[in-house]
Amino acid sequence: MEFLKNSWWKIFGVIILLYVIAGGLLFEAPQLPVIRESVRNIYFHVGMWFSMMFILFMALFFSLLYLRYFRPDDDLKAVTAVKTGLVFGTLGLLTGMIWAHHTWGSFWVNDPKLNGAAVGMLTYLAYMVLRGSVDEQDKKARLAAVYNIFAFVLFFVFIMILPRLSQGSIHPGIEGNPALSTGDLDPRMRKVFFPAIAGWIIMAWWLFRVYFRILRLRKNIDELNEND
Amino acid sequence: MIEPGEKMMVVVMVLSLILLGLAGFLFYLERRLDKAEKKLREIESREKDFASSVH
Repeated sequence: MEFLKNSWWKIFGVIILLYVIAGGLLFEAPQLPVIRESVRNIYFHVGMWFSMMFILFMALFFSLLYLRYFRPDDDLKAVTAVKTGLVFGTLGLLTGMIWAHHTWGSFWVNDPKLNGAAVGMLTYLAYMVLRGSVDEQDKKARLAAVYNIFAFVLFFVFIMILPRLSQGSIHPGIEGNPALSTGDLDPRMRKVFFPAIAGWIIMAWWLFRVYFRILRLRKNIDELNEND
Repeated sequence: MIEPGEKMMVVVMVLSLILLGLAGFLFYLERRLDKAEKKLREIESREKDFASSVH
Protein backbone atom coordinates (compact mmCIF):
# COMPACT_ATOMS: atom_id res chain seq x y z
CA MET A 1 0.00 0.00 0.00
CA GLU A 2 2.85 2.32 0.93
CA PHE A 3 4.47 1.47 -2.41
CA LEU A 4 1.32 2.40 -4.36
CA LYS A 5 0.91 5.62 -2.38
CA ASN A 6 4.44 6.74 -3.27
CA SER A 7 4.65 5.30 -6.75
CA TRP A 8 1.22 5.72 -8.37
CA TRP A 9 2.41 8.56 -10.62
CA LYS A 10 5.44 6.56 -11.74
CA ILE A 11 3.27 3.56 -12.65
CA PHE A 12 0.87 5.97 -14.37
CA GLY A 13 3.78 7.43 -16.37
CA VAL A 14 4.98 3.98 -17.45
CA ILE A 15 1.43 2.99 -18.53
CA ILE A 16 1.14 6.24 -20.53
CA LEU A 17 4.46 5.59 -22.26
CA LEU A 18 3.49 1.98 -23.04
CA TYR A 19 0.34 3.39 -24.65
CA VAL A 20 2.44 5.95 -26.54
CA ILE A 21 4.81 3.26 -27.86
CA ALA A 22 1.95 0.97 -28.94
CA GLY A 23 -0.39 3.72 -30.19
CA GLY A 24 2.41 5.75 -31.72
CA LEU A 25 3.64 2.89 -33.85
CA LEU A 26 0.41 1.00 -34.55
CA PHE A 27 -2.40 3.58 -34.73
CA GLU A 28 -3.32 5.19 -38.02
CA ALA A 29 -1.13 8.14 -39.00
CA PRO A 30 -1.50 10.58 -41.93
CA GLN A 31 0.46 9.57 -45.01
CA LEU A 32 2.34 12.75 -45.84
CA PRO A 33 4.70 13.01 -48.80
CA VAL A 34 8.42 12.60 -47.98
CA ILE A 35 7.78 12.20 -44.22
CA ARG A 36 5.55 9.10 -44.61
CA GLU A 37 5.69 6.74 -41.60
CA SER A 38 8.51 8.72 -39.96
CA VAL A 39 5.83 11.19 -38.79
CA ARG A 40 5.38 8.79 -35.84
CA ASN A 41 8.73 10.00 -34.52
CA ILE A 42 6.93 13.17 -33.36
CA TYR A 43 5.75 11.28 -30.23
CA PHE A 44 9.36 10.65 -29.25
CA HIS A 45 11.35 13.59 -30.65
CA VAL A 46 8.97 16.38 -29.55
CA GLY A 47 8.12 14.56 -26.29
CA MET A 48 11.79 14.44 -25.32
CA TRP A 49 12.33 18.11 -26.15
CA PHE A 50 9.30 19.10 -24.07
CA SER A 51 10.63 17.04 -21.14
CA MET A 52 14.02 18.68 -21.53
CA MET A 53 12.43 22.16 -21.49
CA PHE A 54 10.37 21.25 -18.43
CA ILE A 55 13.33 19.89 -16.51
CA LEU A 56 15.57 22.83 -17.52
CA PHE A 57 12.83 25.17 -16.29
CA MET A 58 12.92 23.27 -12.97
CA ALA A 59 16.72 23.75 -12.93
CA LEU A 60 16.16 27.49 -13.29
CA PHE A 61 13.58 27.38 -10.49
CA PHE A 62 16.00 25.55 -8.14
CA SER A 63 18.80 27.98 -9.01
CA LEU A 64 16.52 30.90 -8.12
CA LEU A 65 15.59 29.13 -4.88
CA TYR A 66 19.30 28.69 -4.11
CA LEU A 67 19.99 32.37 -4.69
CA ARG A 68 17.08 33.24 -2.37
CA TYR A 69 17.76 30.84 0.56
CA PHE A 70 21.31 29.48 -0.07
CA ARG A 71 20.26 25.91 0.71
CA PRO A 72 22.88 23.42 -0.63
CA ASP A 73 20.12 20.96 -1.60
CA ASP A 74 18.65 23.50 -4.05
CA ASP A 75 22.03 23.77 -5.80
CA LEU A 76 22.22 19.96 -5.96
CA LYS A 77 18.69 19.85 -7.39
CA ALA A 78 19.63 22.45 -10.02
CA VAL A 79 22.71 20.54 -11.20
CA THR A 80 20.76 17.26 -11.22
CA ALA A 81 18.01 18.87 -13.30
CA VAL A 82 20.55 20.25 -15.78
CA LYS A 83 22.16 16.79 -16.15
CA THR A 84 18.74 15.17 -16.64
CA GLY A 85 17.85 17.90 -19.15
CA LEU A 86 21.06 17.18 -21.06
CA VAL A 87 20.15 13.47 -21.24
CA PHE A 88 16.72 14.29 -22.69
CA GLY A 89 18.23 16.95 -24.95
CA THR A 90 20.70 14.41 -26.33
CA LEU A 91 17.87 11.92 -26.91
CA GLY A 92 15.88 14.70 -28.61
CA LEU A 93 18.84 15.52 -30.85
CA LEU A 94 19.39 11.84 -31.74
CA THR A 95 15.72 11.21 -32.58
CA GLY A 96 15.77 14.47 -34.58
CA MET A 97 18.89 13.38 -36.48
CA ILE A 98 17.31 10.04 -37.39
CA TRP A 99 14.21 11.90 -38.58
CA ALA A 100 16.32 14.38 -40.56
CA HIS A 101 18.18 11.49 -42.22
CA HIS A 102 14.88 10.01 -43.45
CA THR A 103 13.27 13.26 -44.62
CA TRP A 104 16.12 15.62 -45.56
CA GLY A 105 18.64 12.96 -46.57
CA SER A 106 21.25 13.96 -44.01
CA PHE A 107 21.68 13.54 -40.26
CA TRP A 108 22.48 17.24 -39.92
CA VAL A 109 21.64 20.13 -42.22
CA ASN A 110 22.82 23.72 -41.88
CA ASP A 111 19.54 24.96 -40.39
CA PRO A 112 19.13 27.78 -37.83
CA LYS A 113 16.85 25.61 -35.66
CA LEU A 114 19.23 22.65 -35.59
CA ASN A 115 22.31 24.80 -35.07
CA GLY A 116 20.46 26.75 -32.37
CA ALA A 117 19.61 23.52 -30.58
CA ALA A 118 23.24 22.38 -30.71
CA VAL A 119 24.53 25.74 -29.41
CA GLY A 120 21.82 25.72 -26.72
CA MET A 121 23.00 22.31 -25.54
CA LEU A 122 26.59 23.60 -25.51
CA THR A 123 25.42 26.46 -23.28
CA TYR A 124 24.35 23.89 -20.71
CA LEU A 125 27.52 21.83 -21.17
CA ALA A 126 29.38 25.05 -20.31
CA TYR A 127 27.36 25.10 -17.05
CA MET A 128 28.92 21.74 -16.16
CA VAL A 129 32.40 22.98 -17.13
CA LEU A 130 31.90 26.09 -14.99
CA ARG A 131 30.97 23.96 -11.98
CA GLY A 132 34.00 21.77 -12.51
CA SER A 133 36.34 24.75 -12.65
CA VAL A 134 35.54 26.14 -9.18
CA ASP A 135 36.69 24.29 -6.06
CA GLU A 136 35.03 26.28 -3.30
CA GLN A 137 31.53 24.86 -2.77
CA ASP A 138 29.66 28.10 -1.97
CA LYS A 139 31.29 30.05 -4.78
CA LYS A 140 30.62 27.20 -7.22
CA ALA A 141 26.95 27.06 -6.26
CA ARG A 142 26.43 30.84 -6.52
CA LEU A 143 28.24 31.18 -9.84
CA ALA A 144 26.41 28.17 -11.28
CA ALA A 145 23.03 29.49 -10.12
CA VAL A 146 23.60 32.88 -11.75
CA TYR A 147 24.94 31.26 -14.94
CA ASN A 148 21.93 28.93 -15.04
CA ILE A 149 19.58 31.92 -15.31
CA PHE A 150 21.55 33.22 -18.33
CA ALA A 151 21.77 29.71 -19.81
CA PHE A 152 17.99 29.26 -19.68
CA VAL A 153 17.34 32.60 -21.38
CA LEU A 154 20.07 31.96 -23.98
CA PHE A 155 18.74 28.48 -24.68
CA PHE A 156 15.33 29.86 -25.62
CA VAL A 157 16.91 32.61 -27.70
CA PHE A 158 18.86 29.94 -29.61
CA ILE A 159 16.04 27.45 -30.17
CA MET A 160 12.98 29.71 -30.42
CA ILE A 161 13.78 33.33 -31.22
CA LEU A 162 16.83 33.29 -33.54
CA PRO A 163 15.47 30.55 -35.88
CA ARG A 164 12.25 32.57 -36.30
CA LEU A 165 14.11 35.80 -36.95
CA SER A 166 16.35 34.15 -39.54
CA GLN A 167 13.27 32.87 -41.47
CA GLY A 168 15.46 30.37 -43.29
CA SER A 169 14.65 27.25 -41.32
CA ILE A 170 13.11 24.18 -42.91
CA HIS A 171 12.28 22.72 -39.50
CA PRO A 172 8.48 22.25 -39.05
CA GLY A 173 6.57 24.58 -36.75
CA ILE A 174 9.02 27.44 -37.10
CA GLU A 175 6.26 30.05 -37.11
CA GLY A 176 4.55 28.81 -33.98
CA ASN A 177 5.02 26.14 -31.36
CA PRO A 178 5.96 22.90 -33.14
CA ALA A 179 3.02 20.44 -33.14
CA LEU A 180 0.96 22.63 -30.79
CA SER A 181 -0.32 25.28 -33.22
CA THR A 182 -3.71 24.72 -34.81
CA GLY A 183 -3.25 22.84 -38.06
CA ASP A 184 0.27 21.64 -37.19
CA LEU A 185 -0.90 18.25 -36.01
CA ASP A 186 -3.40 15.88 -37.60
CA PRO A 187 -6.36 15.31 -35.20
CA ARG A 188 -5.72 11.52 -35.41
CA MET A 189 -2.32 12.04 -33.83
CA ARG A 190 -3.48 14.16 -30.90
CA LYS A 191 -4.76 11.17 -28.89
CA VAL A 192 -1.17 9.89 -28.72
CA PHE A 193 0.77 13.16 -28.90
CA PHE A 194 -0.60 14.81 -25.74
CA PRO A 195 -0.21 11.66 -23.57
CA ALA A 196 3.33 11.37 -25.00
CA ILE A 197 4.21 14.84 -23.71
CA ALA A 198 2.81 13.97 -20.26
CA GLY A 199 4.50 10.54 -20.19
CA TRP A 200 7.95 11.82 -21.14
CA ILE A 201 7.70 14.67 -18.60
CA ILE A 202 6.78 12.17 -15.85
CA MET A 203 9.72 9.97 -16.88
CA ALA A 204 12.10 12.97 -16.82
CA TRP A 205 10.87 14.00 -13.35
CA TRP A 206 11.27 10.43 -12.06
CA LEU A 207 14.83 10.17 -13.43
CA PHE A 208 15.62 13.57 -11.90
CA ARG A 209 14.36 12.47 -8.48
CA VAL A 210 16.30 9.20 -8.45
CA TYR A 211 19.49 10.90 -9.63
CA PHE A 212 19.08 13.67 -7.05
CA ARG A 213 18.69 11.11 -4.25
CA ILE A 214 21.86 9.30 -5.42
CA LEU A 215 23.89 12.55 -5.48
CA ARG A 216 22.48 13.67 -2.11
CA LEU A 217 23.33 10.32 -0.53
CA ARG A 218 26.86 10.45 -1.93
CA LYS A 219 27.29 14.00 -0.59
CA ASN A 220 25.97 13.04 2.86
CA ILE A 221 28.30 10.02 3.04
CA ASP A 222 31.26 12.22 2.03
CA GLU A 223 30.35 14.75 4.75
CA LEU A 224 30.04 11.97 7.31
CA ASN A 225 33.47 10.59 6.36
CA GLU A 226 35.03 14.07 6.57
CA ASN A 227 33.62 14.57 10.08
CA ASP A 228 35.09 11.24 11.29
CA MET B 1 9.34 -13.24 -44.40
CA ILE B 2 8.17 -10.80 -41.76
CA GLU B 3 5.31 -8.54 -42.90
CA PRO B 4 5.59 -4.73 -42.25
CA GLY B 5 2.79 -4.93 -39.65
CA GLU B 6 4.60 -7.74 -37.84
CA LYS B 7 7.83 -5.74 -37.93
CA MET B 8 6.04 -2.85 -36.19
CA MET B 9 4.77 -5.29 -33.54
CA VAL B 10 8.34 -6.49 -32.94
CA VAL B 11 9.53 -2.86 -32.57
CA VAL B 12 6.65 -2.13 -30.16
CA MET B 13 7.56 -5.20 -28.09
CA VAL B 14 11.28 -4.32 -28.00
CA LEU B 15 10.63 -0.66 -27.03
CA SER B 16 8.08 -1.74 -24.40
CA LEU B 17 10.57 -4.20 -22.91
CA ILE B 18 13.26 -1.49 -22.79
CA LEU B 19 10.82 0.87 -21.03
CA LEU B 20 9.72 -1.80 -18.55
CA GLY B 21 13.36 -2.70 -17.91
CA LEU B 22 14.21 0.95 -17.23
CA ALA B 23 11.19 1.34 -14.93
CA GLY B 24 12.11 -1.85 -13.06
CA PHE B 25 15.69 -0.62 -12.67
CA LEU B 26 14.48 2.75 -11.32
CA PHE B 27 12.19 1.01 -8.78
CA TYR B 28 15.12 -1.21 -7.73
CA LEU B 29 17.37 1.85 -7.32
CA GLU B 30 14.71 3.60 -5.25
CA ARG B 31 14.41 0.60 -2.95
CA ARG B 32 18.19 0.53 -2.48
CA LEU B 33 18.17 4.30 -1.87
CA ASP B 34 15.42 3.95 0.77
CA LYS B 35 17.53 1.42 2.64
CA ALA B 36 20.76 3.43 2.31
CA GLU B 37 19.11 6.67 3.45
CA LYS B 38 17.57 4.88 6.44
CA LYS B 39 20.96 3.43 7.39
CA LEU B 40 22.63 6.84 7.04
CA ARG B 41 20.00 8.46 9.27
CA GLU B 42 20.64 5.77 11.90
CA ILE B 43 24.41 6.35 11.78
CA GLU B 44 23.93 10.11 12.04
CA SER B 45 21.59 9.84 15.04
CA ARG B 46 23.97 7.34 16.72
CA GLU B 47 26.87 9.77 16.22
CA LYS B 48 24.79 12.63 17.63
CA ASP B 49 23.89 10.54 20.69
CA PHE B 50 27.54 9.60 21.15
CA ALA B 51 28.70 13.23 20.82
CA SER B 52 26.11 14.46 23.34
CA SER B 53 27.02 11.70 25.83
CA VAL B 54 30.74 12.63 25.60
CA HIS B 55 29.97 16.30 26.26
